[in-house]
Amino acid sequence: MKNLTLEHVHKEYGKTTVIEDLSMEIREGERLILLGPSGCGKSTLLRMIAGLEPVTGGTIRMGDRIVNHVPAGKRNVSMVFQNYAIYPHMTVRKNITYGLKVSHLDSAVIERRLDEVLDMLRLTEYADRKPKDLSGGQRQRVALARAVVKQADYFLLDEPLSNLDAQLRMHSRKELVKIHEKYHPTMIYVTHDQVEAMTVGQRIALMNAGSIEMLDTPGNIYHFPANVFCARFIGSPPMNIIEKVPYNRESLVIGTSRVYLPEEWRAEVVDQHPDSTYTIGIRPEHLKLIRTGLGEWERQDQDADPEGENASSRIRGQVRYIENYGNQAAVYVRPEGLAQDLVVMENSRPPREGELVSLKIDFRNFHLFSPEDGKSLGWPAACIREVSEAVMEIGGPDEYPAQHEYVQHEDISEDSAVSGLFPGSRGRRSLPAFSRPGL
Amino acid sequence: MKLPLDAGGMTDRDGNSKTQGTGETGSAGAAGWHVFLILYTCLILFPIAFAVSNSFKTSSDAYNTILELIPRRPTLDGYRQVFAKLPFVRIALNTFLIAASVTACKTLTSLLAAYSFVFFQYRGKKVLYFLMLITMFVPFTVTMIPNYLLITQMGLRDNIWGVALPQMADVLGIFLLRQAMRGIPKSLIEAAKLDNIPDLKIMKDIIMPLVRPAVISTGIIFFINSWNEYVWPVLILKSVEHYTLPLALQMYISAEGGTDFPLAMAVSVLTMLIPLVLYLIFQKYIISIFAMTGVKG
Repeated sequence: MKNLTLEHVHKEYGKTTVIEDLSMEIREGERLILLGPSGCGKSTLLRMIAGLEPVTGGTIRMGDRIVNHVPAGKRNVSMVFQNYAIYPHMTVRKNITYGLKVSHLDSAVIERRLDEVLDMLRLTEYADRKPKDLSGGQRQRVALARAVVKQADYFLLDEPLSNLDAQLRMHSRKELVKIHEKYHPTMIYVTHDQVEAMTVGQRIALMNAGSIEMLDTPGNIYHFPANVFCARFIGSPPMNIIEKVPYNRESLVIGTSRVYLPEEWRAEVVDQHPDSTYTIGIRPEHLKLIRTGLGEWERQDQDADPEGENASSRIRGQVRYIENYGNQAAVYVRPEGLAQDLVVMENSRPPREGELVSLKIDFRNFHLFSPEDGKSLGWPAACIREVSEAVMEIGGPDEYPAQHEYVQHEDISEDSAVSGLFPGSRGRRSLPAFSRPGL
Repeated sequence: MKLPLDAGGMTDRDGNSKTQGTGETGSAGAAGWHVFLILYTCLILFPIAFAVSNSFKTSSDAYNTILELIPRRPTLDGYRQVFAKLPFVRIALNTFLIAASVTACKTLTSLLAAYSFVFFQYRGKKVLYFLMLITMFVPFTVTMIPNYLLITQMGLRDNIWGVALPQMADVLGIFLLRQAMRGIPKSLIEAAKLDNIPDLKIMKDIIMPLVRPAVISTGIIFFINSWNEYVWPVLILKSVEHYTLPLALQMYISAEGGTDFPLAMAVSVLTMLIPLVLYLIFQKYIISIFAMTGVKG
């Protein structure tokens, strides 16, 4: 059994609490990402799992064994450090085999494993070099090789790619997935980079201030965020969040625009959580920018009547700023009567700054959060079905072997810290598990 | 220093000098410093040159031309007398045994203590370190009498091990090696711990190669200090065959010892020879301890 269970884990440094009552289960052989902003406790958690940091309270279980007091060297764990931690005075070969030699492994086995890992990570020609004669990417591969060669049950990585440039990082991500698919260790990977998390992880534990905000597949975290924090953290540019949006007469009042809420949202979500205001979330790619002539906008403007009966699905606004990414542009639109910009992704020729535009919300990809605690209020069943199917189509059926698996939220034990954090869990609605395609 | 050719500095397209002023000031300043440093070096080196020169003079020349650096009638008489009048080899061996054992023990204890101060986590670590540092400021004269009484009780008076024993640990060494080890990323040790490598092996295989310059330089400092030590050996050692070199030297340069100048200078030269050779061999490490910035990747 190579699963790992954290039960009510607690960590304090003096009077500072870093991790508070954290529980989760990491399945045997999965790639779990600990994702979160700097200082959220993800590295501390990893170090506690590795045995490099004592646990203040709670239990860490590896398989059936409680390992709280088991020294790091006896936990069958290998780790890649952020600064690689390769021994500067040893050659690549010695760096990789040092741990194995000390553990008195048969020299033939050591040689075989060394050759295999050198070959896999394209380090054969550098085997006799010292770290100072290697590039950053090569050093990172040595660190990886040293961890891989041990063939431990648990493979821990602490921001292993953060010192690499963008291109190397992309390459290394693929390498990591390949290594995992070859040896299938239980892999726990700490990062603050959402792209790394989404591309490497099979499941992501999104952490904030020492606790887990959401633990789910990358697809579910992206499309069905459990709360405002998750919604904001995943996605670039981040999701547009508008707080305290008044809701009356079946529509949301965004600035001076009245946006009619579709029937299924009202019936399945709003009616379950009646309130006068909501926090709403729309991803930049789920807003459609409609370029209207001045006359058109003025005509719509006449319809602007937040208190009246006239409602449309459009938000009127003015383009304030454009960020050009080359293949697409992020257009910052200031809705009329609102004190914040909304970002819209535009694939075609972007409008000019100052231009008057309308924004249309794609309600299949819309989010409503509780104005009090920021938790998601859930989604209409039709939206979940449609979004899930659309996402599966992107990956292609062959690449999504687990596409028909559904995560039942009842699976999560009630005393678990993550129970109740799942989107839609209030309605006991099941969400599809989007596994990632093989890279 | 700037070369004279460069003193004019660069000129731009209009012929205006850009760097002339600063160039000349810089050159003059640097030259001034060099003159000062050369004079200072001569001042420091003069006693050594004086000792070497007089050790090759005859007794009468030493009295009459004491400040002349080139001996008029060079002779090895001074050195011959050293070996004739003193059990010199024995004395040199005593000095070496004391210095070597003190150096080895101080280095070992400093390494172990520094490792614990840097890489172990335990309650009261900072207080303990602070208390140890405080002992650096306790003058030798305060501990001299208790140490003397202890060594006497142990029956080690007039024994070279009586000289060595109280010096087996040194706070300065712990301090310097701790500084050196603090430059080693903790993750290196953690990586080794994950591989279940015992601390002593980590020390030998990982720490030692990385702090070698610091270990060598502190070792040299320990060795030279012990080699030159006078007050403590003079308290403990009584018979000439147990003497160390500074004590032997004292026999010829003190009021009681008479004034055979060439002989005294020959003993001086021989006394400083071994530390000097050590210094020349390891000078890059000794300099490095003053510029210790930790381990470079």
